[in-house]
Amino acid sequence: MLAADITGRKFTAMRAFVLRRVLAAIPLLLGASLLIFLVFAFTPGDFIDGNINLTAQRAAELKALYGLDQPWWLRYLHWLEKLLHGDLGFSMQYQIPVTELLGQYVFNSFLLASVSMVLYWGIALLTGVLAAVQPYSLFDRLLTLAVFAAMSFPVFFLCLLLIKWAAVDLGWLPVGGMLATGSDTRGWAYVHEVAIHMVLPVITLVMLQAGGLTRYFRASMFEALAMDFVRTARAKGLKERTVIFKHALRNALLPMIALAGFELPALFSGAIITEKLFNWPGVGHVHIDTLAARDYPVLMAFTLFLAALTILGNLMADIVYACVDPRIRLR
Amino acid sequence: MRFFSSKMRQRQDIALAASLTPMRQALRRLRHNRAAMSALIFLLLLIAVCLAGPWFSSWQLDTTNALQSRQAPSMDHWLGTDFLGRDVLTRLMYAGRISLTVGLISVVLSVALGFVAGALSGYCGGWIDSLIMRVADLLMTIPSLPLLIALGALLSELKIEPEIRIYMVMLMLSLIGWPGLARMVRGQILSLRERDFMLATEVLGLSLRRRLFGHLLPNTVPILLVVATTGVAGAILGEASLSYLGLGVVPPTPSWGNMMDSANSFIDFKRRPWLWMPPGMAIFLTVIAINVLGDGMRDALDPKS
Repeated sequence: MLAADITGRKFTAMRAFVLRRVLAAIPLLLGASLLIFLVFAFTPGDFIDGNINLTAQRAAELKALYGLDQPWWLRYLHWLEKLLHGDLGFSMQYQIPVTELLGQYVFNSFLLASVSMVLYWGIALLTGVLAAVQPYSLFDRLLTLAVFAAMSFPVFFLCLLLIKWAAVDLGWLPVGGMLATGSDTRGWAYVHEVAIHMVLPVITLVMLQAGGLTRYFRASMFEALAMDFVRTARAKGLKERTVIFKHALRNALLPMIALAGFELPALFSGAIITEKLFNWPGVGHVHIDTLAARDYPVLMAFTLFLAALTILGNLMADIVYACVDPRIRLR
Repeated sequence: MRFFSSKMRQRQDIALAASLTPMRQALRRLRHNRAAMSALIFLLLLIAVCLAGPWFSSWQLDTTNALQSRQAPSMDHWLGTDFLGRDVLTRLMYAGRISLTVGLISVVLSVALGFVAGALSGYCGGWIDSLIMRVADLLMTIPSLPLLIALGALLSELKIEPEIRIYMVMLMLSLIGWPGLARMVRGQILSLRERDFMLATEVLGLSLRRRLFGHLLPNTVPILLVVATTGVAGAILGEASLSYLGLGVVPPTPSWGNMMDSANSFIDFKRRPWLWMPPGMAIFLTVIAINVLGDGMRDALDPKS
């Protein structure tokens, strides 16, 4: 009876908490859309100015057609209205709607990001926990060194080194792209071909991300192992394995939820520089290409898409955290 | 005898530690951290080479020599020459000045901004706090690389002079950096405000100014120093990525990032690694040294961990 009452109250509090967080996210999203719009609206020059073949008259006609001759606030409201109807705009370079463009490339980005993410979370969890269990051991020291090295690589330099050694000099792996030029493989041969092309970009992403994450895992686990409940568990005579994996690790994983929330945008946004250097047909690559062509509708939509994913990721992390950790006060 | 002397030294150490301020104790701990000290020495050497090196070089920054373009490293040109026959090592040292300066100044800017904003927010509370934190939230919502890329494109479209552009790049990087710092300073102030020593300053009847500038804010400095140090590493990486994409520091001003642009030509990439490997290694080594130093500072300031 009492237990049911407490659960009910907790549920109501939880619902109010979620609702409050969702409502707080809306002005943030609106603010982000305004900021993004302003950056691009006040960038002089656009897709039409970049085309030197147009006469002044034709350029003016096109500008009127795309609504580029209106004042900025009117264009913002118009853009916002279309966004609310699920219309992200029209790519001037590709001449297709932005949603279609995103749809074509987002899966490739997701494929690359999800494979790397599984790998680097796994590696970071394993090495971080091992290092925390034996702090200041040889393994811990070597790991710290490796982590610093991995964290300090400029993305593009790492990509270039990998391409140079593994692809150009040794010729083990393809230089870039997702498929060999003119390839028409099907079935398992296709999977194999994509997998081979993924090796280098995945290594890059894993190296870049695993470093920082390992440190978080180590610190979090280190802190958990110093807690009183761990001493209690040991005093009870539990096996060390049980103490570490069942008692300490579960608590050490809690703060990682917030970090997992930050990963949401990375999952779909494409690793811009890595995709560009490995010529991977993902949204990050499209992002850089459309920048060169001043295809602002695409850039604006992508950037807003990223901002929305960031807000959503944080929101989800907050809610999951509140569900998992009963110590969190629902404010 | 030896036993006594070591015991006495230990006692002296303890007495010394008790008489030193926390900041000096931290410095002592830092001096005993071999990795951090090596990193610091490496950085100082690097700065010295970048500052003084060009004076000893027999080549000028912009002297072109069409007859000696794209030469492999030799006794004359230690790191070879680029497509205009310019000495790569000399350019590397000049680029180091630019890259290090951009990293340092942008962090100084974002620390100043973040400190003031965070302190105002944490101390004043109320609507000032809400306003500042919402702006910080907003800036943190947009992932930094796309935002930097958009701002870099804006600079290119405005056709800003390369000399002035360097300062704009610094501003851009600090715009990305300050919200995180402001949040951290605010959090520090909120937690420090509740500590006993702040209560003591109130009980002692100190003026608001002394409580704020004499006791509250100085206590946020150590953690700020650590974050600023690693921030320099982040800013150098940010500038390098941006310049590599042609959106940060642009030629003729050399920076480590834009020197690596030569890797975009496949022949240079494959056959002439001396054009793009040295700047890449320079960025890598600088950033790793800064990170190790920052980590050592964190350990020194927080002996508990």
